[in-house]
Amino acid sequence: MAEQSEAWSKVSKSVEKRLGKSARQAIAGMRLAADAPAADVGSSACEVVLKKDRMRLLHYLDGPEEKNPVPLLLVYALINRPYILDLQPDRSVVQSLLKQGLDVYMIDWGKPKQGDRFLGLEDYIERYMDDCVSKIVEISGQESISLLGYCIGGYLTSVYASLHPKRVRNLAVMASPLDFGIDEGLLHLWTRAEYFDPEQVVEAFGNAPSEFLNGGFVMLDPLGNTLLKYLNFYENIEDKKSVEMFLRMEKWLSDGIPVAGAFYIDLIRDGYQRNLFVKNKLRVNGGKADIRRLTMPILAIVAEKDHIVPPSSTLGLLDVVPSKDKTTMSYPTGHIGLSVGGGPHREMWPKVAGWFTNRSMSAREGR
Amino acid sequence: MDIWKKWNRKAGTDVNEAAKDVAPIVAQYWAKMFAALWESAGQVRTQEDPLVGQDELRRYMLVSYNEMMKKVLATKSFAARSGNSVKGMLDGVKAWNEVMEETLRALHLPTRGDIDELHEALYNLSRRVDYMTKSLEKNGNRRAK
Repeated sequence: MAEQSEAWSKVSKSVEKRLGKSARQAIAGMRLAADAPAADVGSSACEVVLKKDRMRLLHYLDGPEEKNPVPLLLVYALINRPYILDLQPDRSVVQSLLKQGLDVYMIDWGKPKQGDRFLGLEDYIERYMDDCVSKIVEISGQESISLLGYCIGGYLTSVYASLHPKRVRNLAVMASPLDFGIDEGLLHLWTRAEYFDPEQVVEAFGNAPSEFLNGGFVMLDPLGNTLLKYLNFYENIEDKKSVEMFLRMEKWLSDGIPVAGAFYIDLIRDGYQRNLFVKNKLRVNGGKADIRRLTMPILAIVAEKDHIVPPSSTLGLLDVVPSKDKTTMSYPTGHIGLSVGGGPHREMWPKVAGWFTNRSMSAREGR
Repeated sequence: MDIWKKWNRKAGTDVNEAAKDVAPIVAQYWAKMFAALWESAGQVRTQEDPLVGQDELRRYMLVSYNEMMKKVLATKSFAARSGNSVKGMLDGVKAWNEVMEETLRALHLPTRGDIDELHEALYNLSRRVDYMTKSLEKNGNRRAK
């Protein structure tokens, strides 16, 4: 009898504690609904140095006066907005690189409209990226620059580097699908030619709509991207910093952009389905994207828990390129965690900046 | 049952194959859940805060359910079925587009196809101008050197 009453007393104390917490969480939730903090993103100071169609080339202005002479161009994917690399000041890839003295540029591809459905891989590489590199070369006076591509941006930078190796001093790819021939990852399975035809999507919609793409991404981690995410948010609703971070992430996630139709076909058909680049068979505007030209220093950054791009897809590039200076950096986080996680910003990004700085020293000495 | 069979035939996958893929994953999940429930029930009395175990169990169940779903989504049967569903949805969109196209044409209004043709012409033009400009700049630079 005494044992039973002790057990009940434990339960009632526990319930009391939980009721108190629930009340506090409910109040915090109501306060948040009434007066949500502004989810400011992309707050680093920058100027637009080139504008072409919807694309803008941003040059970041912060950081020490004495900068590394070899500029670094960040190339983000064509899905979602690039401000994930500058989400908030203490979790900003841009800021982390600027603090280490790098001269940072970033491409904002803009939001494609219906008329942009004809833009393909060739246009993004030869017309937009190449113009950005030319502009940076003109501003900096350097003959070649460093590139860092994130996600699909890594595919773009690698193909660009294979077409214009003299213009790329250092190449870094982060969580990028490069070797599409791997046997893991849901996207690799779902996009197989026997199950999926990208041309049908383009025929129906023109561009690949962001809602369509987002549906696929949510399904990669069905509860993680829905219920569990909101449970975690509610659990931490009293913590101002984590609420602000959550709101910024939600803003970014809901700010999806469509992918230009022709590019979508090029990516799925020549990339996911035929793996032409790693097989050294990809042709862009009549020229061969020759993987044997990738002799510059190459850095592969991978997220160990990446469910969008399995690390083996990024690392597959290192197995086939002739470069003698190949480095791998990995961190136990997810695809987006690499750019917004506290751990990567404390431990990994200073090392990434160091990698670029060390490989640009000769340029500084020769100046 | 007939409807189920018909739907499966339409989805282009064999229901037996799908069951063969998915059943072991679901069975494994429920076996794990029963084991966790059993273990948790035994711990309730020994814990200072008995509801902590319940919280952990709830989270464990959700995370495990998520893992089970991911395994189901990674089966070839699911890939085939979802591929067919997407195709069906796209066929619907295309059929609707055709209806709109015909309606607009009957009303002597420009259709999406007409506008796409214009977009394509503009795209080809701007592409050509771009490459010509690049080539001129290249030649100019060469001469300057």
